[in-house]
Amino acid sequence: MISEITLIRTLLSILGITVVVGVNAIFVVWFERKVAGHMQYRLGPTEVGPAGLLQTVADGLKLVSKQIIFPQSADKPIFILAPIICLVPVFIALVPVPFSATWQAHELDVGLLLVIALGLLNTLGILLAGWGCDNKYALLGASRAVAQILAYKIPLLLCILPIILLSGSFSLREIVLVQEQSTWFALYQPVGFLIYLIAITLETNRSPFDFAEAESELVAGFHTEYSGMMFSLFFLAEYTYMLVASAIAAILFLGGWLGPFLPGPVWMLLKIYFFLFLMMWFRWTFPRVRVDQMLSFGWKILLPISLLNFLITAGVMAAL
Amino acid sequence: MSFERFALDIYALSFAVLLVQMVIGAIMAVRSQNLVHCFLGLVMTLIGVAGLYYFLGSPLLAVMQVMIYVGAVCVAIAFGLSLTHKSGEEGLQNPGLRAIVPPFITLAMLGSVLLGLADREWVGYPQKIDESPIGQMLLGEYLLPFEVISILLTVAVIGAISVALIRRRN
Repeated sequence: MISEITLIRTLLSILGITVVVGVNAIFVVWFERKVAGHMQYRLGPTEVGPAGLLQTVADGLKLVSKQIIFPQSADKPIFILAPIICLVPVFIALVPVPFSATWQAHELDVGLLLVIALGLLNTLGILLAGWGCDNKYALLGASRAVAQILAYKIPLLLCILPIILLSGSFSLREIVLVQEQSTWFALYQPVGFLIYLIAITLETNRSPFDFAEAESELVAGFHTEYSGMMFSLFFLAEYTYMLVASAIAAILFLGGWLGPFLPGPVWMLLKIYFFLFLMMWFRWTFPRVRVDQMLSFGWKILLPISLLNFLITAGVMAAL
Repeated sequence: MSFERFALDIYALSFAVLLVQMVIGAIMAVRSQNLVHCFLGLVMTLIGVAGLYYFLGSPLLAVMQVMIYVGAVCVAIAFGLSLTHKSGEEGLQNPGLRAIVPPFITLAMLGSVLLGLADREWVGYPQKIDESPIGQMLLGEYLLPFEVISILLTVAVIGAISVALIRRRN
């Protein structure tokens, strides 16, 4: 039932995912600071390592060595569990993601569903963080996070559904292989693609939708009370979630690892970091919108458009 | 052969962890004095049930369990909890003689399930099952019940909205 090969493969996959999560976080934090710097006409980090590349490593070491402070009135088990509940689901969400036809930790025929379900667990972590530390800013941030996830999960799912209709599969690998036969689904689903981009910016709590941690209103929102390594776990979770959301975007709309000349994983990484760059671009050029604007935009505009998009796609497919 | 042994040990160990998590979660959900801890216990048990589905060879059911129960139901409960002001520390009331009833019901249900399954074949390690008949059944043979359930949900949503509207008018 369980052969040596599957066991070695499983262990290697776990190792691989851990490396991807770590290296991605180190790289993306550096990349974000560089992008922010250049957009504001300055250089960003330059001192540590070539072009400041090792800056994040230095910051990481500092964070690890810092003391973890527990607020006196905090609910200790929940306080400790919250960052872990945030990180573990996004870690597992990398399992069904294919980086090329052969580079995939585990092929699941419900891979896409798994990633969506695990995205919801991440919200639970944020919510528990808000509750656990008994701080009103944190609680406000957490309840905003839940309100925004409820408002945007439905349009997100509704713009994924046409892709499933087009490809006839929930397996991420299959979805890419179908695009090899036809063409990128972004061309068939431009509206869905746009809604997906807006929804993942929201899902990952990125500005202009970073209500859960809005610095100027809520200090730091749900992670106000966290320090040291527990704080960096939240950041690790956020950057890994961005990686997962970008990978899913690349797979669903831009044909995953498909592309000429370069090998598959290179194309996949290029597409992922293109989406990450896009999200950073949003962050450093758009001001934060108001909470009520965000909610009414989600429920009153995105939801009907994505529903209509889904119905039209289904109608056209039934007619052809 | 040692590899095989090692793999089976891991399999058994993860199954045991899952069971312990479920039982602790269930006890927490019922016994805890703090409403948030009860909620956390509920989440632990529901995730454990998802894990059991996976062990029984149905990833689809496992994912659906996480999505519907943990993702939707628990987040909705959590949202409700964050709107209440008491954290639920009123404490447990002594249930008295009524405390005898739940164990009896539990034992009766467990017994009937085990009796029903007694003549089935015992399998050590279930294989992954083909899940596509679930979808075909839902949209074929069981289409009517499926649609009736969705009407029920629509009624619930409309009810919630109308309750909220009445409250706002007063």
